[in-house]
Amino acid sequence: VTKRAAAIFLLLLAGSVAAIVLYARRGTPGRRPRRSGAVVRSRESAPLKVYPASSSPPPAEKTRVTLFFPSQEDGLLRPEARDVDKPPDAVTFTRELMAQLAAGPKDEYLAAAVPKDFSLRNAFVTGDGLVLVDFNVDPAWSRSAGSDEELTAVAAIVDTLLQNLAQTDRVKILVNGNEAETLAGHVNLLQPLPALREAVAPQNLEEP
Amino acid sequence: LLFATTIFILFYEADETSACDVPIEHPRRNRFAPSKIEFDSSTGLEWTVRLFLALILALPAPNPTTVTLLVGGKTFNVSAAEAGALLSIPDVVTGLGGNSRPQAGASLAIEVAGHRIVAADGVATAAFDNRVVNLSHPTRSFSGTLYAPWEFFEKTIFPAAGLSAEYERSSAKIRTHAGGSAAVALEVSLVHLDQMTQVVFRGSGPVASDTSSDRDQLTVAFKSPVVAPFLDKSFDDPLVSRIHFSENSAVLSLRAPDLAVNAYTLKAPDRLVLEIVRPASPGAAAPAPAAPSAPPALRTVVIDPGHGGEETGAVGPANIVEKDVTLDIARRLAGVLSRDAAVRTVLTRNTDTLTALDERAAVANHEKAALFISIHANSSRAAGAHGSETYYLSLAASDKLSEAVAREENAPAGPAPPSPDSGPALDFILWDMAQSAHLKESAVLAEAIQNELNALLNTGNRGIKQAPFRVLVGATMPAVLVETAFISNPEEARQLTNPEFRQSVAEAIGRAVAAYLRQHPPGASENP
Repeated sequence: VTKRAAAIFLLLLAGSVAAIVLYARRGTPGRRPRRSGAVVRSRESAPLKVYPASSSPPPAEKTRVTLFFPSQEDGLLRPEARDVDKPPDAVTFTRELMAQLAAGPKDEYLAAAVPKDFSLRNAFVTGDGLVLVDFNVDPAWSRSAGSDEELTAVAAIVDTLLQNLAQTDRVKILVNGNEAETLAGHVNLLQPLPALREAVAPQNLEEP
Repeated sequence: LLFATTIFILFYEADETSACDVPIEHPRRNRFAPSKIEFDSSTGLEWTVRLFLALILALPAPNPTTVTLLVGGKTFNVSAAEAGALLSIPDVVTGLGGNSRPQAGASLAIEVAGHRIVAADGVATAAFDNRVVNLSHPTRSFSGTLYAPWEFFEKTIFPAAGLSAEYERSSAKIRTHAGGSAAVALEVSLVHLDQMTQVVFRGSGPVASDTSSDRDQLTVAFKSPVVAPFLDKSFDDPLVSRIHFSENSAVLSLRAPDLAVNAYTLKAPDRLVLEIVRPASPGAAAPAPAAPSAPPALRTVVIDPGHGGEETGAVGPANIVEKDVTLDIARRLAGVLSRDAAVRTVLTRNTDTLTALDERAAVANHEKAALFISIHANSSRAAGAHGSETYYLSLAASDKLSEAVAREENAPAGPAPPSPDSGPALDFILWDMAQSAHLKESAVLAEAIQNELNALLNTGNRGIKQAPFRVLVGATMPAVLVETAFISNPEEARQLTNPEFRQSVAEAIGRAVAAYLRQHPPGASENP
């Protein structure tokens, strides 16, 4: 009887373990839901999933953005439009805009707005009109950039962001994680900057 | 299901055990299975059950929905989500005596002890006093309340409150301790105008303090830990001779006893402003101040050669560097002005050294200069960029106070004399807006210089411009920045290497400055 009891217990134990495993597997992303409705359920039961949007492939909806690059001829900023994936939030959008700006212009009439290794460390949109962008800046560039080069870089960043991000009106540029006086010895970064329209070629001025 | 199984197992085992206690009723089994083995088997069974129970007990405990926040002997309940991995931001903020309000873009504006923090739903960064804080996991919203990982609180909320904190997930408790590292980094600037010296402590966070004076010593005791910009520094100022930092206080040595001090704080950026003035004395009762040398008979023009030291500025073909060009043109300009305009000239640097941007304008302020002229050579990514440009300061549109000052001071009717006891009139000499009061004159000076340079370089396309150049911000007189030519343009770089060309640039600027000074006699609107 004892052996039989042991067998029954072990069976029950195995059954319970199997039930637990099956229950837990319902929530894992590896298991394909049979019905579309199950997608929602599987997401709800995965408690540590922090990026819910990434579990379902987003439709590749595009949005048009306007970037600003200096012209080869006079250095004044000109707009260049391109289509990018529609971003889920303002920070992702900011990152995308800055990546596009760093990638340089497609039009050969235009020049790069920022140095090659100029990369965004971090970004934040505060909701009251301020965009915070924190860049990795090469100190060698900082020591040797001229006024126009620096002003163009700052204006391209500020104008591109304010042109595309809704309900923003000023940009605070941070350098290597900290507040900085300037990028390269000229343009004041201690105050948040409004759109720098003077750096844009006059015929291209338009309200954001 | 697990609970029912456990009960069943427990019950079944009890029955078997009682059966085993009466071996006579099971003679066959006793024959084939000795009691020792039966006993072992029963132990094995018990062991299995215990193992099973242990398994159940080892399963994750139900997610804690509330975490206890302990602050200064008080306890607060904080809603938690995802097994305590996320905590309600408003709950923690309330516990620390701050406040939070939702704003546009699904974000939450938080204020704790004067610090401003913004978090946004689903975003793995946060803003903390205009800095960006990186988080390894994003915040998340549950039924309209924003929750954040512990890291968020550790990096923003608790430092803002000046507390250090530990979160014990197992006991669902947050313990806080006073004296977190909420040290405020300070910068000090000093401006003298008329009978007043203004000392500005600019902090990376709020600069709360108590000020007390004892004859010729003024002590500022900061309420939070501070990072001093220097330990001891002497100033060539008529009222303040020295500032000394010790622990969390600054001691200002004053040149005369019992000066009147007015201290107040400003926000965005956080500043503590000390206005030190000689007490108003009717008639000539007060002894004449230890005059900082009699007012110079000649007007002073401060010339600022851009860059210097390790900061080369733009580098052109054949290794021509901006810092050398600017110093040479500045020296030549000083010579031209001394020769033609009967002015005294001061260079912000006369060697290959790096001078801080604010220091350059401070030299002009200290010298009570009539004009401040910063000399640069330009460089651009645009291959075709050429010509000279003259800049004067543009104000940040967000800087409402500067705008107001600029409107008032640059109005066509002319500036009203600043009255010593009205707030706004004193405000305008705050560093960030010192230049606001002189924009109109700066524009006139810029235009005069640009016209001369256009004639010299035969480039009419680049006129006067406005830009937020840092070096111009603190100047309390008409101030311009001259981009003489493009060092990045091969032809202009070649010209800049030529001493004759540099002399002609200096002559052109000198002509404009001399003409400006003739048209604007002393006392019109510049500093005394």
